[in-house]
Amino acid sequence: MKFTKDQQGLLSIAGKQVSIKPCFPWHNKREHLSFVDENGKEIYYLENLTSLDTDSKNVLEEFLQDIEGVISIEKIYSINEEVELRKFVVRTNLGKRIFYTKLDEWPFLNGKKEIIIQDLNADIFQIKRFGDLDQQGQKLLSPLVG
Amino acid sequence: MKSINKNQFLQQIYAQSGELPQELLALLGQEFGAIEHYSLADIQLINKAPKELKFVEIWCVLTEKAVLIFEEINQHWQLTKKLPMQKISKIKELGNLSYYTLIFTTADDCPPLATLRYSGRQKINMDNLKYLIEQKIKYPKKRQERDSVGAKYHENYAHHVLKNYIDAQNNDVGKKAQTLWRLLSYLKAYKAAFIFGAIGAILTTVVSLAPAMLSGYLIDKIIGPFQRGQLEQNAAWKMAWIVVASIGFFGVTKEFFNWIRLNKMSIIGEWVAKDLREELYTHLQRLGLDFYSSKQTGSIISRVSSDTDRIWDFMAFGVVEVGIALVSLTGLSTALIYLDWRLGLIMTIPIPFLLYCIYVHGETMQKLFIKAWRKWADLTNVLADTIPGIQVVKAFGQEQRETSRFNQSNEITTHEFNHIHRQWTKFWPILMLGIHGVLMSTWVFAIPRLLLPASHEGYLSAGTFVSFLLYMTMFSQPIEVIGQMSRMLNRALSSAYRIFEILDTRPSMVDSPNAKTLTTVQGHIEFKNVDFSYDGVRKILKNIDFQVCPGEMIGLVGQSGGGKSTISKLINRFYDVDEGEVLLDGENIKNLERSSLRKNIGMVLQDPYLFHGNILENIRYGNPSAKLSQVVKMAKMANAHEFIMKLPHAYQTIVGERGHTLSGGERQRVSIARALLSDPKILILDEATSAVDTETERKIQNALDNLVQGRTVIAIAHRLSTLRNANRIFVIADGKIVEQGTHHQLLAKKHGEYKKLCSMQEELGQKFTLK
Repeated sequence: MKFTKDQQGLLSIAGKQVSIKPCFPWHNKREHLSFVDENGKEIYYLENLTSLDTDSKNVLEEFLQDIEGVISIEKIYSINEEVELRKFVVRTNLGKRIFYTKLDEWPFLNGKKEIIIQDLNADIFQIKRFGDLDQQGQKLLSPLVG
Repeated sequence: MKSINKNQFLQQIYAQSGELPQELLALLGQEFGAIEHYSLADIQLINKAPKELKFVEIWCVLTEKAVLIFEEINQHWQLTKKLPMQKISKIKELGNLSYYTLIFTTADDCPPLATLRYSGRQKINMDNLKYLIEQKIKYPKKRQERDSVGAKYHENYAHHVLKNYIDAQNNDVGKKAQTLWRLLSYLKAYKAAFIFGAIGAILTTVVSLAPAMLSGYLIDKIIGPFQRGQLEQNAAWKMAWIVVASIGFFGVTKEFFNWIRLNKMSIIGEWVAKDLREELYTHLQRLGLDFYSSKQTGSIISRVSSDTDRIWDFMAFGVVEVGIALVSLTGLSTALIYLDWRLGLIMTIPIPFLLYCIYVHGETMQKLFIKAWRKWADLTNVLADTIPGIQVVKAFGQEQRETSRFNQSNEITTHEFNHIHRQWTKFWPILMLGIHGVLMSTWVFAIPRLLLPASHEGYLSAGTFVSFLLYMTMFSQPIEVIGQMSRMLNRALSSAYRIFEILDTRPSMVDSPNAKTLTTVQGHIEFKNVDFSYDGVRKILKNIDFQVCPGEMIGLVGQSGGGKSTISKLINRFYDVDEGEVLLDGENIKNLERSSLRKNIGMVLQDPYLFHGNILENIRYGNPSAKLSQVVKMAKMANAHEFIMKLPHAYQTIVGERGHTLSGGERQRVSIARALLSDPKILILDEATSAVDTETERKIQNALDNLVQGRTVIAIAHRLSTLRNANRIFVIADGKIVEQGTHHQLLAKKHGEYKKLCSMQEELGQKFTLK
């Protein structure tokens, strides 16, 4: 299968624009990829990139970088409980952000080290390693992940 | 959100704007026409390789003629892109784990006109924006054909960004004092009992101070003088017994007042909780279906049950306990300073420090509790997963695995709770040690003064010191209560917020002051140019116009999501129309009392709901005074009598929660009997036979044939065979009536939608027929 980047800068398979949807977004995002058209219909399924030619692989790599982009938390300023909600004030790789989770929805571990927090609006925030946070951040987060 | 607007609220909770900046509005001018909608793109690509993104504010404004993109450059808003509508050919959304990308394209062989990136927080607005732009692309000239937000656009933006926050929380957050005051106002109805309880509490505290004072008096004024020969034995005996009797009297009096306090306050707490439950439940009955679709059932139930219980706890004990603790501590400090200011200060100065220690301990404990609750939740999740699904566990032979999963979770939970126990069991002895330290300091400072001659200025009498010692034993309890006050208050306020949120939710529809009560109903229904949308943007019904004569049966058919069920909901006035009118016997249903309207409309749904109770009660639900003979007659008409009589207790057989002891078809027939008994003039059948087998369908169909006699019937069905008796059939597609006529008239249309649906069903029927 040949993957190309069209004039609009979008991923195409045989001239048809497609979007990538990883089957297992929390595991290896470069395997088990579903390619869907604008109606959400799967038109191609790729188990891994090894079977692709170099051009296709390069094109796909570029788009995979896009879908892998996750907002990373670099510093936690505060975590406070409000009625029904937990308010996080953090600094991310994109800048400062305030977000909320429900009180009974907790951060979860992806693999052994990565911590994932999903907020009220289904935005995903990632902490690569608990140990990367400063002492204050670790202290604030530890009741929620330990 | 009564005192501040949504824009201010958005700023407060997310530190983002909810409205277009004034400077930006000034840039808009008249050139592009009126604003139709806008949204924020809050993420921007600032570097392609390596890829670098940042949070920004980029406003995307949809006007009559163009899509305009505004960015803040050097602290000034600038129009950075204008995309005339005629240039946009397609708009595409791509998603990844953390953000979305919206791409505006023109011809296929040209680069995109613009690309916007945004977080999930902006998604609803961006989806709406995308939808409206697509509508404009689809209907470039026919403005009346497409959906639009119109003047509501400015309300819609902030509303959609806040939606998840408001759904999860409530409107009153941030006004603790007001909420507390409102909560306490529920005591007004029990003013006399509350005053009794409060007086009881104050007197308990005051009286509890007396025995220590009297003990000091006994030593200094009676025992001491007697031992020094300054008081005669008879007088000393007499005085001593009076003092001892007084101590006993005060002990009894204290417990008497304590009884008044406990008795009054716990009963008042129960009454307040009962009042709240009653008010809450009554209010819940008034709220519309839109409220129930936005809240989880469990969350609503817990507000009526456990939150009101927490309020009881706070009212019964919290309010007074804290009051008593404050009075006790003030009383004790005053008494100590009054007795001897120097020793009094030694005792009272450490109090703030002790309170601080308790506060810090409380904070630490709260963190540990969060951890433990999480583990506890994991444990209960294992139970909630496996107990209802035990059949699957057994079918796959996973008992051992589930047991290990439970045991592992159980062990982790136990560790967490033991950690908590280790913490508090360490803290309280240390705190008590601190209090003993204060006590020791008192001894250290007191002994030199106790050994001074009585005539010396710094002399401390033994009696005063005994009073001191006794007062000191009373110190720890109020300190503990005050230290935990903040947590107790927060818990109660949290419950109060949750309760008041519901009480403050105004029903989306209210009867007009001059609403008429329906008495006799003919059953003439008319939809006049009705437009309706659930979210204010996507129209579910578009310019629907039809009339149904009394006694007529109308079938509604069409693809799922076309708007069939919405029509039935509008007849019931579960929602109000956006445009146009729904008339019943010539009267706009907005002018009718909703309760009287709904009493005249019967509904038979796809998944009928039966209440926990017996069959008789369920059939009689809409008409509780119906005679037993009528119940049996209606059950017979509904083809339900036969199976009911096979049940162990016939009509008085308990059907269980939601009627789970009956099959789907049996539940349906009971619900038809219920509808027959309430004898409505208008009947809505919403997929009444879609979830049953052919034999059951036949029985239900026979029952329905009885039910529809002499009524106006709106029947929604996927199985077109069930509409064979319909006088007319409306084919609904994309919110419009695309065809109408009798079964034969519609079949006669060569390329008609109805004919297509019939052919498809026939094909399916043939394909799955066993040969």
